[in-house]
Amino acid sequence: MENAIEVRGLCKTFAKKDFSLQNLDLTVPKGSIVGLIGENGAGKTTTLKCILGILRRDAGEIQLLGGEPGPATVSQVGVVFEDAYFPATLTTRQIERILRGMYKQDWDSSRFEGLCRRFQLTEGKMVKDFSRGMRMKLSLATALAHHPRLLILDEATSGLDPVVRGEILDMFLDFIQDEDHSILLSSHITSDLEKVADSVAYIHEGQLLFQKDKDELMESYALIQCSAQDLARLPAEWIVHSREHAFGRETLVRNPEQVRQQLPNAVFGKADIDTIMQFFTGRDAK
Amino acid sequence: MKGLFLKDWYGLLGMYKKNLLLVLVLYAALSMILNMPFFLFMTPWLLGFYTLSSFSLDESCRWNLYARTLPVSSRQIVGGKFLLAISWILPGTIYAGVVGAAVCLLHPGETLASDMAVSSVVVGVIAIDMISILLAMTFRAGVEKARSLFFLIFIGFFLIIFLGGQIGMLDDAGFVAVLASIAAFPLLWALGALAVAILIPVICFSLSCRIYANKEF
Repeated sequence: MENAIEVRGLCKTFAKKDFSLQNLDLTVPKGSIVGLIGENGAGKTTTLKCILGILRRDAGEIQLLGGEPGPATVSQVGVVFEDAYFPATLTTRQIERILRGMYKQDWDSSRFEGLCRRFQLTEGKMVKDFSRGMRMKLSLATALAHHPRLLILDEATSGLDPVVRGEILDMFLDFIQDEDHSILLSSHITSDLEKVADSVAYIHEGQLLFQKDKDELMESYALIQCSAQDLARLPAEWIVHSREHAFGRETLVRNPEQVRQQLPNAVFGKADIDTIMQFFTGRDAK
Repeated sequence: MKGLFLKDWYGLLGMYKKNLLLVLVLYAALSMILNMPFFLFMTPWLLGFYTLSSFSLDESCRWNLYARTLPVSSRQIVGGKFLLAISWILPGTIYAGVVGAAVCLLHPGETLASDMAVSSVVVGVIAIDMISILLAMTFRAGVEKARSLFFLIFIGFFLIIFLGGQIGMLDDAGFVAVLASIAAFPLLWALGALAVAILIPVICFSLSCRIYANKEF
């Protein structure tokens, strides 16, 4: 098995919401971290739910750890959603017993307790008394305690302070060290993806615009400042989107080296993932 | 299924432990003070209804979405709910039987303690059947709609009996015939009732599994 996740031609339509995923292809190679980005309502969570088998796909194929999504494959996956989906009156001790009863021999109580201590989660405290950040840490502890081969995380680091986020990102990097573990991480905190992701997949309005190596992605775009007349000299296919604001015109361009040759006087800036997303979204908002 | 079972027990006790204890004490006190042991027949029903609140708890924390990422099948999730209901109704039945029998012994009168105990078992079985139907309806329509629909059906059933009695449909001749049949073939009627009592939860479980397996969250 080369890839932890393989998605080919995924289609899923929600007629009532007037939204659909269209022919989405996505790959999470073994031993890597793939970042999933997209604006709100783009289809990230829908994609994750289809991968996990929570939603039935209309068309396409999904391979999750070499098999169809189902209880057998999902047991090897640690999942964290945007909040801890436990009844409010449960304590961490009770949650440990519940999940131990489900995962059975796969569950590692000592690992869970160790993670709770590390995250400073009080044993007898109820979920309703945890802050949002603490609930996220609890979700992460439950996801990691059964030694999964794959982590699927939907906004798992949102609500966490920068110190804890940094610690968790380090945990993610440790997690994939043996080349057998993988992570699919959906996040709006693109700086986190810039730190840990090997590749980035961008979903926009139900379609995958690209999945690229992170470094290659950031090197293949640039943000330039130049006049509209200068911009007109560039081939249309090199320009993603241009916008004017109080201080001038900013344009996201492809092929920055070639653009530099054409417009030596333009001011070039680095395009981070945030910028790339904003300009792609801006392009399609026209 | 152990984990699912624990989750619901912990959740319900966490929310309703004090309320439940209060109700049980109140029922026992009222039945003893007012010499109304049949009041305790409410207990299995009440405890069965409490278990339906586990659906509300699940909905409020989006547990069903998370459960799809755990190594449990739809069948186990549904089975967990049915087991939960039975595990609450049975103690309620025992409670009603024991306390009811004690009330009868304290206040000797028309009702024998043994009759009270046996009646509690019958009430408990009926409660399991009715709550099973409610469970299937809840899986289909959600907690609120299922409860409302169930009460409407209950009211409708008694309205039919009442109106039927008013227009003479349920005349004495009919009842006498039924009673005579029971007296003539008690074993047949008992086995028939037992079969129905077992079939109802089994059918409801099977339907619930199908309904839940097709749900998306």
